[in-house]
Amino acid sequence: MEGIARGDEEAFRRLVDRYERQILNLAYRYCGDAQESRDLAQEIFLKVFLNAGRWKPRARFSTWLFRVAVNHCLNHTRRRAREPVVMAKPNPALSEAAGQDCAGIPTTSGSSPPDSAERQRAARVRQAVLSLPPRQRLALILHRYHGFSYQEIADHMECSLGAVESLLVRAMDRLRASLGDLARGEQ
Amino acid sequence: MGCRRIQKRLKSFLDGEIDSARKAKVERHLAGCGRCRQALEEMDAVGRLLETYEGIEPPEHGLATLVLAARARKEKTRSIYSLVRTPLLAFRAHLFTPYGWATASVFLVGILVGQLVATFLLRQAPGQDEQSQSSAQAFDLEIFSELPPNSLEQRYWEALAAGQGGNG
Repeated sequence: MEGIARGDEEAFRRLVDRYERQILNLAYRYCGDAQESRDLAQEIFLKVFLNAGRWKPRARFSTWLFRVAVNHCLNHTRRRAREPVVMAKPNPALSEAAGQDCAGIPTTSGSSPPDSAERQRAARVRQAVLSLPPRQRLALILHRYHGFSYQEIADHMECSLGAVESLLVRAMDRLRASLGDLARGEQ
Repeated sequence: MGCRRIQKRLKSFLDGEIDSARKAKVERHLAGCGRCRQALEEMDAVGRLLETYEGIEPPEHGLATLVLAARARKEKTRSIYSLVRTPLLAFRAHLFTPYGWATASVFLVGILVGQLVATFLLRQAPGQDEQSQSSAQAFDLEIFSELPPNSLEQRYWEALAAGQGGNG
């Protein structure tokens, strides 16, 4: 980080290579759009580069990075809420086709879901996650897809342990309400 | 503990984020409550469903190149912007010091005094109205209405009038 603070581009490249997948997918699962998530991830890393001098070694770097990412995602939603709507959101039912995102960007599995029923199911799950309120969505993503403990999520989101638990319980209640029929079919 | 409270703890129970005392209470309740067991299974199933929301791959050449290019663009914009911004910031920085306020006050008083002096001097200027009138007269074409006697133009008009009379 000291190197990055001095403007060392090689050190920055190594850092981005290490964390880009995590930050990109946090942004992607948060906003649901591949192109937008690339822009978000790019902005997050740019912030890290420009503010590298502010990082204090007493905190873990990954905690600081995720804190920047979480704040950036929440600010992005606030900004979007103030802007007039220009384009409709991509249709999630169409976007999981052929193992690609709607922008043609390969998904992590790289293969297409085998049939339309599974595709529709994936689209519903995605829509359910995207319709969660921003903080609940972020807590769920950090826990479910990044495997962070409640304490780590509390550090990333700068809130108490109880608040994280409450966010996750409310997120799960909403998901059960929207995906309950699918879940009962799974059992 | 009632079902309502237990169901609030099911998520942390499922995630293994519950202390041992509470865990034991939840387990005791679950052993005798079919509805809460059903809720727990449903949560577990929803958790499995969430796995179908796949992530995406990073760009082929990595994000670092894009970020560094964005940084270069930002630096360029900043350098142009700083041409205007730097003097303004310097002014602002000086304004919020005791000397800055004194300088600004002297500057404002100077403007006010200058304006008062100018107004006073203009009022005192002699014959200003007369000068204005003579200037207006100089541009008034009426002063040329009477032609000088025996001038070329006088003779032209006379010859023209005589010719018209002869024709008539």
